Amino acid sequence: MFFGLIIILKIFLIIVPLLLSVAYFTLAERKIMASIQRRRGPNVIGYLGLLQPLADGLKLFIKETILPTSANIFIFLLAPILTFFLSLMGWVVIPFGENLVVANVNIGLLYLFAISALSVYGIILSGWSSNSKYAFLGSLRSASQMVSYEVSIGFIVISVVLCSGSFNLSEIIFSQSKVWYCLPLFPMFLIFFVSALAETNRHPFDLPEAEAELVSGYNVEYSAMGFALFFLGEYANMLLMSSLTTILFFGGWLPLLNVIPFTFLPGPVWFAGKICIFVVLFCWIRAALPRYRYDQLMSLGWKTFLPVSLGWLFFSSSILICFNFLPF
Amino acid sequence: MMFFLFLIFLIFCSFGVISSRNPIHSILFLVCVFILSSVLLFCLEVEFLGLSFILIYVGAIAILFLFVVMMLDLKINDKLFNRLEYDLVTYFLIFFFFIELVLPFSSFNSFTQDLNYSSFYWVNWSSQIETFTNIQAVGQVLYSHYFIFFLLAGFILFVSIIGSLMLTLTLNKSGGLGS
Repeated sequence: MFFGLIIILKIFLIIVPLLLSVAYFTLAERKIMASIQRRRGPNVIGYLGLLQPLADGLKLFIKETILPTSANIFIFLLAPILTFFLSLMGWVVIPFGENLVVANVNIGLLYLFAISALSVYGIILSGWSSNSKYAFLGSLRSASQMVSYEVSIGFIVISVVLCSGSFNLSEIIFSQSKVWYCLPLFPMFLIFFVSALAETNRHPFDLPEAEAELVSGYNVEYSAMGFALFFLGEYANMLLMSSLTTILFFGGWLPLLNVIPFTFLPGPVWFAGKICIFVVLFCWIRAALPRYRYDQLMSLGWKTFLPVSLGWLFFSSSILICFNFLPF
Repeated sequence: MMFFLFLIFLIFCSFGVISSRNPIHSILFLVCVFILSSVLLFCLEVEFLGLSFILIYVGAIAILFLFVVMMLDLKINDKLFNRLEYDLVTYFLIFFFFIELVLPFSSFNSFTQDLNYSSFYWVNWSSQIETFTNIQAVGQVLYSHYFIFFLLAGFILFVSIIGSLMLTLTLNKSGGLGS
């Protein structure tokens, strides 16, 4: 009984701050884009517009849920729930600080990978079940994009695992206490971040919701809470990808240097700060870059990123074997 | 206990694969079968294999199935006679394989009871002290004892890649590679 209560408390301690940060991620995105485009952004509701995300959430909550008449109702309702659920599931293995993790599993990285492989289903099912050409094309595009960029992400993750010698996320962070992997594996960091943009269907790879061609992609037919669940899932996935980038390449909760003025800040603050950098980068890229064409996107994934990451895998493993740097 | 619960779910889902009228539904049942089988592997504490099941079968193969079936213009076949014929064959095959599975196991059980293993059960103390993770255990066997099978599997995959390339390759009139 007591044990169960503690587990439920842990789950809420993850989910509630996550949903709050997703809400303020949307506000931050609108504010940053507004300041890049020399506008004010939302500034009416609350002090400096700080209550805007709550108002948006309330609006989505009290809207009417519309079910298309020719849709496959069960799958239509299942898809947003699946997307949201899977985007929350990944957070269970993320270490926020030393020993600050819900489940310290020894194959955490593989678990995250399996979760992201499953999250394609939410998108592809929503597109098929809403029985609309726009949604269907959007979901096919989105799913093929996610599947093809997952391959290069896999190779990059394997080269990081070779350097750290473990699939456990905490041990990957501990192995970066001398130097963060963004320095020795710098090209891999760049490729990983671009692949993360493609994996979360963000600009400049947001072809699934190319407004001019596909209205809004796989979630055209959704309204009210169904749409809100997709939205929350997408933004939680973005946060998950930026925290994964932080863990793999920027030393997670580790401070910049292990000397006095830097070590005053606790680990989770460092972790949150590093995630914030990537969040700002996500918004900045959205405001600054034009959209890719679809065949360019596919050739970038399969003909550039995949060979480069595969080659880097061989390169780094041969360096590790040559100088006897293998960590096990 | 949980194991048998998931096992029953798995059997229901696999019946769903062959009995649902809509091909998309049967693929979704297939995905459920894959996920439940990986859950069974989790119950057996083989979590590495379970996660790779999800990664490979659910994340790649079933998505390709879904793609192909969604793109095809399938008519839902609901003629009773046709279904009945297929179903009879399927259930006969299921029954046949079930018998084939049950027979050796039932004889095996009596065999073990005769031997009565419990009398000379011993504790492997070295394994109580030293623990392997799943990945270490798989790696130590795969790259030493079974490396030849590992290489052969790689070659088989390579041949299949070349085969699929040859199927989709288009040559120009001058004999060069088409785009």
